Amino acid sequence: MIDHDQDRSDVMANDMVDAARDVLNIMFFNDILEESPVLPEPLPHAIQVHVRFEGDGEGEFHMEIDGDAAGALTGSFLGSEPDAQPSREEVDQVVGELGNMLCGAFLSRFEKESIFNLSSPVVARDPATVPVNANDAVGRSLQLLDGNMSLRVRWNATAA
Amino acid sequence: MNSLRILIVDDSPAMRAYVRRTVQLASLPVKNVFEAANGQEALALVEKENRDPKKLDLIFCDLNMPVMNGEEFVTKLKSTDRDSQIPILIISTDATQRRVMRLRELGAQGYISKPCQPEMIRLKVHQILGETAPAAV
Repeated sequence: MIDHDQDRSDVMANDMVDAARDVLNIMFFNDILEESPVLPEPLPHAIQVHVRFEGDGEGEFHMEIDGDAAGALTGSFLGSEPDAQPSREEVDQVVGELGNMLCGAFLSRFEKESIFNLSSPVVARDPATVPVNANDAVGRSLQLLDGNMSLRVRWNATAA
Repeated sequence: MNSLRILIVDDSPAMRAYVRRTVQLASLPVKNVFEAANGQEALALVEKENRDPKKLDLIFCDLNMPVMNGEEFVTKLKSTDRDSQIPILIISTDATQRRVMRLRELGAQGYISKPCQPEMIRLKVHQILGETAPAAV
């Protein structure tokens, strides 16, 4: 049973990284330089995105991204000039969409035959406003070209 | 291909901007781009803008949206006499086979899963509008 749970967690983590690589490569012209087990504590000063999903299973997806990476990804996504500084509103909109895409891309890989409905992404800069649920989540930390990101997914007990 | 009048339906302003830019990068002959943040807004916009001689040529639509989601929008649009002929191209992260099948049954003409490249959008648009895609510029 323990091995089975560990296998499921490993597959989940791998699918999460593969989904992130696809999304970052194709839509943000970015890449993953390194991946590692997710840290129990949140990234300092990170922007957080939270997406809930329900349907054939239910749970939540959580993304943290530091300001440098968020700014660079926003510029790439919007096609801004290299030296242009995106507004806070633009950054929040793009990282929200990034969280939404990562959650959807992950679920499409991990549960190919299932149907899910995703909530609108909630973007927060105050760590106290978004639950991290680090203890019972599967996650990975990713080093990108311009900064760091961490991803976590947690399934509700009834869904697993 | 004639100049296109298109509608982009997505609750994310960033994604609407991305689709708008991608359509331009794909060298599609776009004349007018309209935007709506959910299915309800889109229905109102279709009611207003899809009139002779200025018909809408194509609708890009997300699935997960507040107020009225993509499935509800497709269902309602396809149940109307006047506007049911407008082709709908779904762009969503939800790429499961069951979802795609369901959307086809509802009447959506095409489906692109995010992440998506401009070339994929260009090919799908030509496919849906029934013309052979010219070589990418």
